Amino acid sequence: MRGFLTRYTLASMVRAAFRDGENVSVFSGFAGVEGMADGARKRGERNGTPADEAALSARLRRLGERLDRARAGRAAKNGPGAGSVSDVSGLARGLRLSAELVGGVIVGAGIGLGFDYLLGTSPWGFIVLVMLGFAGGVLTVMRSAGVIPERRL
Amino acid sequence: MADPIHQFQITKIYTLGTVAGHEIAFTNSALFMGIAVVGISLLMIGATAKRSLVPGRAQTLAELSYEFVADMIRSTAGPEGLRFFPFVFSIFMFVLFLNMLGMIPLGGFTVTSHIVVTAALALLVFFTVIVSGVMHHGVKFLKLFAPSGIPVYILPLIVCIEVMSFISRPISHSVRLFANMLAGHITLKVFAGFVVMLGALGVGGWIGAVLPLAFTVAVTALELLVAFLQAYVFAILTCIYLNDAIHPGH
Repeated sequence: MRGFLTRYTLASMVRAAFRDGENVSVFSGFAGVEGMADGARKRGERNGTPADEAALSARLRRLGERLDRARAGRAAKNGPGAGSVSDVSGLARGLRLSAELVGGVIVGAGIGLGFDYLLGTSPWGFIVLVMLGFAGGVLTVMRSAGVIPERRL
Repeated sequence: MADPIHQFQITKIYTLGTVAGHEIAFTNSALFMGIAVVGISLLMIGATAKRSLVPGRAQTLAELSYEFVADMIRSTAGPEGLRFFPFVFSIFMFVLFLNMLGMIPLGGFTVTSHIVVTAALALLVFFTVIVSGVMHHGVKFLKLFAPSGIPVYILPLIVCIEVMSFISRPISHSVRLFANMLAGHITLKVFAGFVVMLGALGVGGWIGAVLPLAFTVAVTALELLVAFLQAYVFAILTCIYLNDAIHPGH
């Protein structure tokens, strides 16, 4: 699993280990990363002097940098497409495409039939909206296949 | 021969009462949903109860699933997406457990092979996206349908197509999961049925039954992969849709 120990959980582990040795809560990460970091900071202020705290955070930062470097090196060594996670995401991407085109056409047909039923314009609403739905489906498929850029953020 | 559709039959276990003439019953579907919820709760609460520095097996499993979903959200919706972590995590674990419970032979029931369940989950995601998008961005959420840099004269057409593509999401989202689980389990049952039918024919049939038996074993392995993969696809699409609610601007 890629990035099993994130910097956040690791930081909390190190802080906790410095604080009281054995009985620590590694898994408070579930409560939310930010909340946990705040809590750790507060505890640190209560227990240690500011100098201790600064030294600790410097060490934590160095450790984080080393972890990042190690992780980058590992990723470069394995290369893109290696490892189970990326295999899974490739397969998942393929599976996603199957239903998206159909979804667009079904929605177009449904709205078109409803339109015709309400306004009595049969069959024009159906024809136009099925074509629009098809276009929408193609757009979704192209977007999820990465043919066109996903979103310009 | 066993009916390949029979495995999807919903049976009543206990009638709870009637509401407006409709019977409200506790069914095998509800039972398996309950088992999934209890299983997930036991895994997560039980594994994290000890919270040891060096994680044991169960705790590693819980941490792995946490990291898996958190990574998924970070890579698709960015760090801001982590505020939806509980939602995505619940959906992922729920679908994964339901799919995996369906793989249990003899008495396993696949809740996700019913479109009513997958559609309810997909609509939940759909409305979460709309409500959260409108809450955080107001009218600017509508920019989702109007990409920037489009000439004015084709803008109405583009908006129509974008709206279509948006509305089709819960349909493809729910149909994909339901159809994959349904088709896979029917295939499995049909080929397992061939083994039984050929086996009844005598020695020649036994030799002939080797092929469908091997195929059944292979399809079972494939189905285990699909069960995980479909839960993953469902969760990652949830993340991608939530990304629109977080960043509606183009």
